[in-house]
Amino acid sequence: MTALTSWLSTWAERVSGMGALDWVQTLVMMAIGGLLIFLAIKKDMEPTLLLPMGFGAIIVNLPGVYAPGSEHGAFGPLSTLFDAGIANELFPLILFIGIGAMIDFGPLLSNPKLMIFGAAAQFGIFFTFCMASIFFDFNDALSIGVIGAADGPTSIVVAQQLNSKYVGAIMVAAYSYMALVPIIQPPVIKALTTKKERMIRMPYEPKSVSKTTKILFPIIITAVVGIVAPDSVYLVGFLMFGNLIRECGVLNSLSETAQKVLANLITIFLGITISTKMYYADFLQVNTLLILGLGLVAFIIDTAGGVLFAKLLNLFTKNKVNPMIGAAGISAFPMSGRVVHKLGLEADNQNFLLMHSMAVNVSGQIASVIAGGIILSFGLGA
Amino acid sequence: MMNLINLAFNPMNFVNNLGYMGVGMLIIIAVIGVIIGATTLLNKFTGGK
Repeated sequence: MTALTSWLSTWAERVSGMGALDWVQTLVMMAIGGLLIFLAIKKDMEPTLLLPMGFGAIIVNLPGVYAPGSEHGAFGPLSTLFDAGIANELFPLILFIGIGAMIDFGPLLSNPKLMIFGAAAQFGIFFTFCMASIFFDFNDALSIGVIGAADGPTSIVVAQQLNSKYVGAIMVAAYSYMALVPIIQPPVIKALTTKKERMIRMPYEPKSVSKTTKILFPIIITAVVGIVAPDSVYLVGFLMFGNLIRECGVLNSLSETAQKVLANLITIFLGITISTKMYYADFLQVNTLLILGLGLVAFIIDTAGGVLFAKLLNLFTKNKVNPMIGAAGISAFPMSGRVVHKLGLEADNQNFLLMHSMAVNVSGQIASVIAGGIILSFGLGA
Repeated sequence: MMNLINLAFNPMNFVNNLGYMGVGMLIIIAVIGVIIGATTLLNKFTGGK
Protein backbone atom coordinates (compact mmCIF):
# COMPACT_ATOMS: atom_id res chain seq x y z
CA MET A 1 0.00 0.00 0.00
CA THR A 2 2.84 2.36 0.93
CA ALA A 3 4.57 1.56 -2.36
CA LEU A 4 1.39 2.34 -4.29
CA THR A 5 0.96 5.65 -2.47
CA SER A 6 4.60 6.53 -3.08
CA TRP A 7 4.28 5.75 -6.80
CA LEU A 8 1.04 7.70 -7.04
CA SER A 9 2.45 10.75 -5.28
CA THR A 10 5.60 10.77 -7.44
CA TRP A 11 3.55 10.52 -10.64
CA ALA A 12 1.01 13.10 -9.45
CA GLU A 13 3.82 15.48 -8.52
CA ARG A 14 5.27 15.26 -12.02
CA VAL A 15 2.01 15.81 -13.88
CA SER A 16 0.40 18.20 -11.41
CA GLY A 17 1.76 21.26 -13.22
CA MET A 18 0.18 20.23 -16.53
CA GLY A 19 -2.83 22.26 -17.62
CA ALA A 20 -5.34 21.38 -20.34
CA LEU A 21 -3.15 22.96 -23.05
CA ASP A 22 -0.15 20.92 -21.89
CA TRP A 23 -2.17 17.73 -22.28
CA VAL A 24 -3.26 18.77 -25.78
CA GLN A 25 0.33 19.61 -26.72
CA THR A 26 1.49 16.28 -25.33
CA LEU A 27 -1.03 14.52 -27.56
CA VAL A 28 0.08 16.60 -30.55
CA MET A 29 3.69 15.52 -29.99
CA MET A 30 2.60 11.89 -29.67
CA ALA A 31 0.81 12.30 -33.01
CA ILE A 32 3.94 13.83 -34.54
CA GLY A 33 5.96 10.89 -33.19
CA GLY A 34 3.41 8.53 -34.71
CA LEU A 35 3.54 10.40 -38.02
CA LEU A 36 7.34 10.09 -38.16
CA ILE A 37 7.08 6.35 -37.52
CA PHE A 38 4.37 6.08 -40.22
CA LEU A 39 6.51 7.99 -42.76
CA ALA A 40 9.50 5.80 -41.90
CA ILE A 41 7.70 2.47 -42.20
CA LYS A 42 4.96 3.07 -44.76
CA LYS A 43 6.64 5.65 -47.00
CA ASP A 44 10.23 4.46 -46.47
CA MET A 45 11.38 8.04 -45.80
CA GLU A 46 14.78 8.06 -44.05
CA PRO A 47 13.55 5.21 -41.80
CA THR A 48 16.91 4.90 -40.05
CA LEU A 49 16.38 8.34 -38.54
CA LEU A 50 12.69 9.08 -38.62
CA LEU A 51 11.73 5.88 -36.83
CA PRO A 52 14.02 6.36 -33.80
CA MET A 53 13.11 10.06 -33.70
CA GLY A 54 9.39 9.27 -33.77
CA PHE A 55 9.66 6.62 -31.08
CA GLY A 56 11.84 8.90 -28.96
CA ALA A 57 9.32 11.74 -29.35
CA ILE A 58 6.66 9.48 -27.89
CA ILE A 59 8.90 8.48 -24.96
CA VAL A 60 9.94 12.00 -23.95
CA ASN A 61 6.37 13.31 -24.12
CA LEU A 62 4.75 10.61 -22.01
CA PRO A 63 3.21 12.39 -19.01
CA GLY A 64 5.49 12.14 -16.01
CA VAL A 65 8.65 11.21 -17.93
CA TYR A 66 10.07 14.74 -17.89
CA ALA A 67 11.98 15.03 -14.62
CA PRO A 68 14.03 18.23 -14.62
CA GLY A 69 15.38 17.68 -11.10
CA SER A 70 16.85 14.26 -11.86
CA GLU A 71 20.58 13.87 -11.37
CA HIS A 72 20.79 12.01 -14.73
CA GLY A 73 19.11 14.80 -16.67
CA ALA A 74 15.48 15.55 -17.50
CA PHE A 75 15.16 12.48 -19.73
CA GLY A 76 17.38 10.02 -17.85
CA PRO A 77 19.53 7.88 -20.16
CA LEU A 78 18.43 9.86 -23.22
CA SER A 79 19.83 13.03 -21.64
CA THR A 80 23.02 11.12 -20.81
CA LEU A 81 23.30 10.03 -24.45
CA PHE A 82 22.66 13.61 -25.59
CA ASP A 83 25.44 14.95 -23.36
CA ALA A 84 27.77 12.14 -24.39
CA GLY A 85 27.25 12.30 -28.12
CA ILE A 86 25.41 15.35 -29.41
CA ALA A 87 26.21 18.18 -27.00
CA ASN A 88 29.90 17.59 -27.76
CA GLU A 89 29.17 16.85 -31.48
CA LEU A 90 30.78 13.41 -31.23
CA PHE A 91 27.95 11.37 -32.82
CA PRO A 92 27.57 13.44 -36.00
CA LEU A 93 31.33 13.60 -36.47
CA ILE A 94 31.76 9.84 -36.02
CA LEU A 95 28.84 9.30 -38.40
CA PHE A 96 30.81 11.31 -40.96
CA ILE A 97 33.55 8.64 -40.90
CA GLY A 98 30.93 6.12 -41.97
CA ILE A 99 29.49 8.42 -44.62
CA GLY A 100 32.98 9.16 -45.97
CA ALA A 101 33.66 5.42 -46.21
CA MET A 102 30.43 4.94 -48.18
CA ILE A 103 31.12 7.61 -50.81
CA ASP A 104 32.78 6.74 -54.08
CA PHE A 105 34.32 9.93 -55.44
CA GLY A 106 35.40 8.08 -58.63
CA PRO A 107 32.82 9.57 -61.05
CA LEU A 108 33.49 13.04 -59.65
CA LEU A 109 37.27 12.65 -59.89
CA SER A 110 36.95 11.57 -63.50
CA ASN A 111 35.10 14.82 -64.26
CA PRO A 112 36.10 17.31 -61.53
CA LYS A 113 34.42 20.27 -63.26
CA LEU A 114 31.08 18.92 -62.01
CA MET A 115 32.11 20.03 -58.51
CA ILE A 116 31.09 23.58 -59.34
CA PHE A 117 27.41 22.54 -59.22
CA GLY A 118 27.88 21.43 -55.63
CA ALA A 119 29.06 24.94 -54.81
CA ALA A 120 26.16 26.64 -56.61
CA ALA A 121 23.56 24.57 -54.81
CA GLN A 122 24.65 25.94 -51.42
CA PHE A 123 23.03 29.28 -52.24
CA GLY A 124 19.94 28.31 -50.25
CA ILE A 125 21.98 28.22 -47.04
CA PHE A 126 22.97 31.87 -47.30
CA PHE A 127 19.63 33.05 -48.64
CA THR A 128 17.81 31.30 -45.79
CA PHE A 129 20.25 32.76 -43.29
CA CYS A 130 19.31 36.26 -44.54
CA MET A 131 15.62 35.37 -44.32
CA ALA A 132 16.00 33.89 -40.84
CA SER A 133 17.88 36.95 -39.61
CA ILE A 134 14.61 38.89 -39.96
CA PHE A 135 13.13 36.83 -37.11
CA PHE A 136 16.05 35.37 -35.18
CA ASP A 137 19.33 36.56 -33.72
CA PHE A 138 22.54 36.20 -35.73
CA ASN A 139 23.79 32.79 -34.57
CA ASP A 140 20.32 31.22 -34.59
CA ALA A 141 19.78 32.54 -38.12
CA LEU A 142 23.12 31.04 -39.24
CA SER A 143 22.17 27.69 -37.67
CA ILE A 144 18.78 27.75 -39.40
CA GLY A 145 20.44 28.57 -42.73
CA VAL A 146 22.54 25.41 -42.46
CA ILE A 147 19.37 23.30 -42.75
CA GLY A 148 20.00 24.05 -46.44
CA ALA A 149 23.19 22.00 -46.26
CA ALA A 150 20.77 19.05 -46.54
CA ASP A 151 23.17 17.24 -44.30
CA GLY A 152 22.09 16.23 -40.80
CA PRO A 153 25.52 15.92 -39.13
CA THR A 154 26.63 19.34 -40.42
CA SER A 155 23.40 20.93 -39.16
CA ILE A 156 23.88 19.41 -35.71
CA VAL A 157 27.54 20.41 -35.41
CA VAL A 158 26.92 24.00 -36.54
CA ALA A 159 23.82 24.50 -34.35
CA GLN A 160 25.60 23.05 -31.32
CA GLN A 161 28.81 25.03 -31.81
CA LEU A 162 26.86 28.25 -32.34
CA ASN A 163 24.88 27.47 -29.20
CA SER A 164 21.55 27.80 -30.99
CA LYS A 165 18.40 27.71 -28.89
CA TYR A 166 16.65 25.78 -31.67
CA VAL A 167 18.85 22.71 -32.06
CA GLY A 168 15.85 20.37 -31.83
CA ALA A 169 13.77 22.08 -34.51
CA ILE A 170 16.83 22.42 -36.77
CA MET A 171 17.65 18.70 -36.49
CA VAL A 172 14.06 17.67 -37.14
CA ALA A 173 13.80 20.02 -40.15
CA ALA A 174 17.14 18.89 -41.60
CA TYR A 175 16.36 15.18 -41.42
CA SER A 176 12.69 15.48 -42.37
CA TYR A 177 13.38 17.53 -45.50
CA MET A 178 16.19 15.19 -46.52
CA ALA A 179 13.60 12.44 -46.40
CA LEU A 180 11.22 14.60 -48.42
CA VAL A 181 13.71 15.42 -51.22
CA PRO A 182 11.80 13.19 -53.72
CA ILE A 183 8.70 15.32 -53.06
CA ILE A 184 10.30 18.78 -52.74
CA GLN A 185 12.72 18.78 -55.67
CA PRO A 186 10.72 17.60 -58.74
CA PRO A 187 8.21 20.49 -58.85
CA VAL A 188 11.00 23.07 -58.41
CA ILE A 189 13.10 21.45 -61.14
CA LYS A 190 10.14 21.18 -63.51
CA ALA A 191 9.13 24.79 -62.88
CA LEU A 192 12.61 26.02 -63.85
CA THR A 193 13.28 23.80 -66.88
CA THR A 194 11.57 23.05 -70.16
CA LYS A 195 10.99 19.47 -71.28
CA LYS A 196 13.57 20.04 -74.00
CA GLU A 197 16.14 20.96 -71.38
CA ARG A 198 15.26 17.94 -69.26
CA MET A 199 15.82 15.76 -72.32
CA ILE A 200 19.41 16.93 -72.82
CA ARG A 201 21.56 13.81 -72.85
CA MET A 202 24.97 13.73 -71.23
CA PRO A 203 27.02 10.81 -72.49
CA TYR A 204 29.07 9.27 -69.70
CA GLU A 205 32.67 8.94 -70.76
CA PRO A 206 34.53 7.87 -67.66
CA LYS A 207 38.23 8.59 -67.55
CA SER A 208 40.28 6.24 -65.46
CA VAL A 209 41.26 7.68 -62.10
CA SER A 210 44.50 6.54 -60.53
CA LYS A 211 44.66 5.07 -57.04
CA THR A 212 47.11 7.85 -56.12
CA THR A 213 44.48 10.46 -56.99
CA LYS A 214 41.84 8.65 -54.94
CA ILE A 215 44.19 8.54 -51.95
CA LEU A 216 45.48 12.10 -52.25
CA PHE A 217 42.02 13.62 -52.89
CA PRO A 218 40.69 13.31 -49.29
CA ILE A 219 44.00 14.57 -47.90
CA ILE A 220 44.04 17.60 -50.22
CA ILE A 221 40.39 18.45 -49.51
CA THR A 222 41.02 18.32 -45.76
CA ALA A 223 44.09 20.53 -46.07
CA VAL A 224 42.45 23.12 -48.34
CA VAL A 225 39.21 23.36 -46.34
CA GLY A 226 41.09 23.27 -43.03
CA ILE A 227 43.20 26.26 -44.09
CA VAL A 228 40.24 28.29 -45.41
CA ALA A 229 37.78 27.44 -42.63
CA PRO A 230 39.71 26.00 -39.67
CA ASP A 231 36.53 25.68 -37.61
CA SER A 232 35.25 23.06 -40.02
CA VAL A 233 38.42 20.97 -40.18
CA TYR A 234 36.91 18.22 -38.02
CA LEU A 235 33.74 18.10 -40.10
CA VAL A 236 35.58 17.68 -43.38
CA GLY A 237 38.44 15.79 -41.74
CA PHE A 238 36.23 13.01 -40.36
CA LEU A 239 34.38 12.72 -43.67
CA MET A 240 37.62 12.48 -45.61
CA PHE A 241 39.22 10.16 -43.06
CA GLY A 242 36.38 7.73 -43.73
CA ASN A 243 37.01 8.07 -47.46
CA LEU A 244 40.74 7.55 -47.03
CA ILE A 245 40.08 4.31 -45.12
CA ARG A 246 37.96 3.22 -48.09
CA GLU A 247 40.42 4.15 -50.81
CA CYS A 248 43.78 3.26 -49.25
CA GLY A 249 43.26 -0.40 -50.09
CA VAL A 250 44.89 -1.79 -46.93
CA LEU A 251 42.07 -1.19 -44.44
CA ASN A 252 39.21 -3.06 -46.04
CA SER A 253 37.85 -4.47 -42.80
CA LEU A 254 37.94 -1.01 -41.16
CA SER A 255 36.23 0.47 -44.21
CA GLU A 256 33.51 -2.16 -44.04
CA THR A 257 33.06 -1.60 -40.30
CA ALA A 258 32.84 2.18 -40.78
CA GLN A 259 30.27 1.82 -43.59
CA LYS A 260 28.04 -0.65 -41.82
CA VAL A 261 28.52 -1.29 -38.08
CA LEU A 262 29.81 2.13 -37.06
CA ALA A 263 27.35 4.12 -39.18
CA ASN A 264 24.39 1.98 -38.08
CA LEU A 265 25.33 2.10 -34.41
CA ILE A 266 25.68 5.87 -34.38
CA THR A 267 22.49 6.30 -36.40
CA ILE A 268 20.51 4.31 -33.80
CA PHE A 269 21.78 6.50 -30.97
CA LEU A 270 21.57 9.73 -32.98
CA GLY A 271 17.91 9.35 -33.93
CA ILE A 272 16.59 8.49 -30.51
CA THR A 273 18.82 11.05 -28.79
CA ILE A 274 17.60 13.89 -31.02
CA SER A 275 14.14 13.24 -29.60
CA THR A 276 15.19 14.82 -26.28
CA LYS A 277 14.80 18.09 -28.19
CA MET A 278 11.23 17.19 -29.12
CA TYR A 279 9.68 17.78 -25.71
CA TYR A 280 6.38 19.58 -26.29
CA ALA A 281 7.19 22.65 -24.18
CA ASP A 282 10.35 23.31 -26.21
CA PHE A 283 9.15 22.08 -29.58
CA LEU A 284 5.58 23.34 -30.00
CA GLN A 285 6.34 26.99 -30.50
CA VAL A 286 5.64 29.40 -33.32
CA ASN A 287 9.42 29.65 -33.75
CA THR A 288 9.58 25.93 -34.52
CA LEU A 289 6.96 26.26 -37.26
CA LEU A 290 8.87 29.20 -38.67
CA ILE A 291 12.10 27.19 -38.66
CA LEU A 292 10.36 24.32 -40.46
CA GLY A 293 9.12 26.84 -43.06
CA LEU A 294 12.57 28.37 -43.47
CA GLY A 295 14.05 24.89 -43.85
CA LEU A 296 11.71 24.26 -46.75
CA VAL A 297 12.76 27.59 -48.29
CA ALA A 298 16.40 26.50 -47.95
CA PHE A 299 15.82 23.25 -49.85
CA ILE A 300 13.83 25.01 -52.59
CA ILE A 301 16.38 27.79 -53.08
CA ASP A 302 19.26 25.27 -53.04
CA THR A 303 17.55 23.32 -55.80
CA ALA A 304 16.75 26.46 -57.78
CA GLY A 305 20.32 27.76 -57.31
CA GLY A 306 21.80 24.58 -58.75
CA VAL A 307 19.42 24.42 -61.72
CA LEU A 308 19.73 28.12 -62.60
CA PHE A 309 23.52 27.99 -62.36
CA ALA A 310 23.56 25.08 -64.80
CA LYS A 311 21.31 27.04 -67.18
CA LEU A 312 23.59 30.06 -66.88
CA LEU A 313 26.60 27.89 -67.67
CA ASN A 314 24.83 26.53 -70.76
CA LEU A 315 24.66 30.05 -72.17
CA PHE A 316 28.46 30.15 -72.41
CA THR A 317 29.45 26.55 -73.15
CA LYS A 318 29.38 24.44 -76.28
CA ASN A 319 28.69 21.11 -74.61
CA LYS A 320 25.38 21.70 -72.86
CA VAL A 321 24.71 20.05 -69.54
CA ASN A 322 21.29 18.88 -68.47
CA PRO A 323 20.35 21.69 -66.04
CA MET A 324 18.65 19.21 -63.75
CA ILE A 325 22.01 17.89 -62.55
CA GLY A 326 22.55 21.23 -60.79
CA ALA A 327 19.75 20.26 -58.40
CA ALA A 328 21.72 17.22 -57.24
CA GLY A 329 24.28 19.57 -55.70
CA ILE A 330 22.23 19.99 -52.55
CA SER A 331 23.95 17.05 -50.89
CA ALA A 332 21.11 14.86 -49.48
CA PHE A 333 23.13 11.90 -50.71
CA PRO A 334 22.02 9.75 -52.55
CA MET A 335 18.33 10.75 -52.79
CA SER A 336 18.93 13.92 -54.77
CA GLY A 337 21.07 12.15 -57.37
CA ARG A 338 18.36 9.53 -57.82
CA VAL A 339 15.62 12.16 -58.16
CA VAL A 340 17.47 13.84 -61.04
CA HIS A 341 18.14 10.51 -62.73
CA LYS A 342 14.46 9.61 -62.47
CA LEU A 343 13.35 12.95 -63.92
CA GLY A 344 15.77 12.47 -66.80
CA LEU A 345 14.20 9.10 -67.60
CA GLU A 346 10.75 10.61 -67.27
CA ALA A 347 11.55 13.18 -69.97
CA ASP A 348 13.30 10.67 -72.22
CA ASN A 349 13.46 6.99 -71.38
CA GLN A 350 16.94 6.73 -72.86
CA ASN A 351 18.37 9.64 -70.89
CA PHE A 352 20.64 8.14 -68.24
CA LEU A 353 21.95 10.85 -65.94
CA LEU A 354 22.75 8.72 -62.90
CA MET A 355 26.56 8.89 -63.02
CA HIS A 356 26.54 12.66 -63.56
CA SER A 357 23.90 13.33 -60.94
CA MET A 358 25.68 11.13 -58.38
CA ALA A 359 28.97 12.90 -59.09
CA VAL A 360 27.28 16.25 -58.50
CA ASN A 361 25.55 14.81 -55.44
CA VAL A 362 28.85 13.83 -53.76
CA SER A 363 30.32 17.22 -54.67
CA GLY A 364 27.32 18.69 -52.84
CA GLN A 365 28.38 16.67 -49.80
CA ILE A 366 31.82 18.29 -49.90
CA ALA A 367 30.45 21.77 -50.62
CA SER A 368 27.88 21.54 -47.81
CA VAL A 369 30.62 20.78 -45.31
CA ILE A 370 32.63 23.73 -46.61
CA ALA A 371 29.53 25.92 -46.32
CA GLY A 372 29.04 24.66 -42.77
CA GLY A 373 32.61 25.69 -41.99
CA ILE A 374 32.10 29.15 -43.46
CA ILE A 375 28.87 29.60 -41.48
CA LEU A 376 30.72 28.50 -38.33
CA SER A 377 33.48 31.02 -38.94
CA PHE A 378 30.86 33.77 -39.44
CA GLY A 379 29.16 32.82 -36.17
CA LEU A 380 32.24 32.24 -34.03
CA GLY A 381 33.93 35.34 -35.40
CA ALA A 382 30.95 37.63 -34.78
CA MET B 1 2.27 27.80 -23.48
CA MET B 2 2.54 28.51 -27.18
CA ASN B 3 5.19 31.10 -27.67
CA LEU B 4 3.33 33.66 -29.77
CA ILE B 5 4.93 36.91 -28.75
CA ASN B 6 8.62 36.15 -28.56
CA LEU B 7 9.18 36.68 -32.27
CA ALA B 8 11.34 39.48 -33.63
CA PHE B 9 10.70 41.17 -36.97
CA ASN B 10 13.59 43.14 -38.44
CA PRO B 11 13.27 43.20 -42.25
CA MET B 12 16.39 45.34 -42.61
CA ASN B 13 18.47 42.47 -41.28
CA PHE B 14 17.91 40.72 -44.63
CA VAL B 15 19.57 43.58 -46.48
CA ASN B 16 22.27 44.04 -43.83
CA ASN B 17 23.29 40.38 -44.07
CA LEU B 18 23.44 40.17 -47.87
CA GLY B 19 27.18 40.82 -47.57
CA TYR B 20 27.57 37.49 -45.74
CA MET B 21 25.70 35.81 -48.59
CA GLY B 22 28.08 37.26 -51.17
CA VAL B 23 31.22 36.51 -49.20
CA GLY B 24 30.03 33.01 -48.31
CA MET B 25 29.25 32.06 -51.92
CA LEU B 26 32.49 33.62 -53.10
CA ILE B 27 34.55 31.57 -50.63
CA ILE B 28 32.75 28.32 -51.54
CA ILE B 29 33.25 28.87 -55.26
CA ALA B 30 36.91 29.81 -54.70
CA VAL B 31 37.59 26.76 -52.53
CA ILE B 32 35.82 24.42 -54.95
CA GLY B 33 37.78 26.09 -57.77
CA VAL B 34 41.05 25.29 -55.99
CA ILE B 35 39.91 21.69 -55.43
CA ILE B 36 38.92 21.33 -59.12
CA GLY B 37 42.34 22.66 -60.13
CA ALA B 38 44.18 20.36 -57.72
CA THR B 39 42.16 17.33 -58.87
CA THR B 40 42.74 18.13 -62.53
CA LEU B 41 46.49 18.39 -61.87
CA LEU B 42 46.42 15.13 -59.90
CA ASN B 43 44.68 13.37 -62.75
CA LYS B 44 47.21 14.79 -65.19
CA PHE B 45 50.31 13.85 -63.21
CA THR B 46 49.20 10.45 -62.00
CA GLY B 47 48.25 9.43 -65.52
CA GLY B 48 44.85 7.99 -64.65
CA LYS B 49 46.19 4.49 -64.06
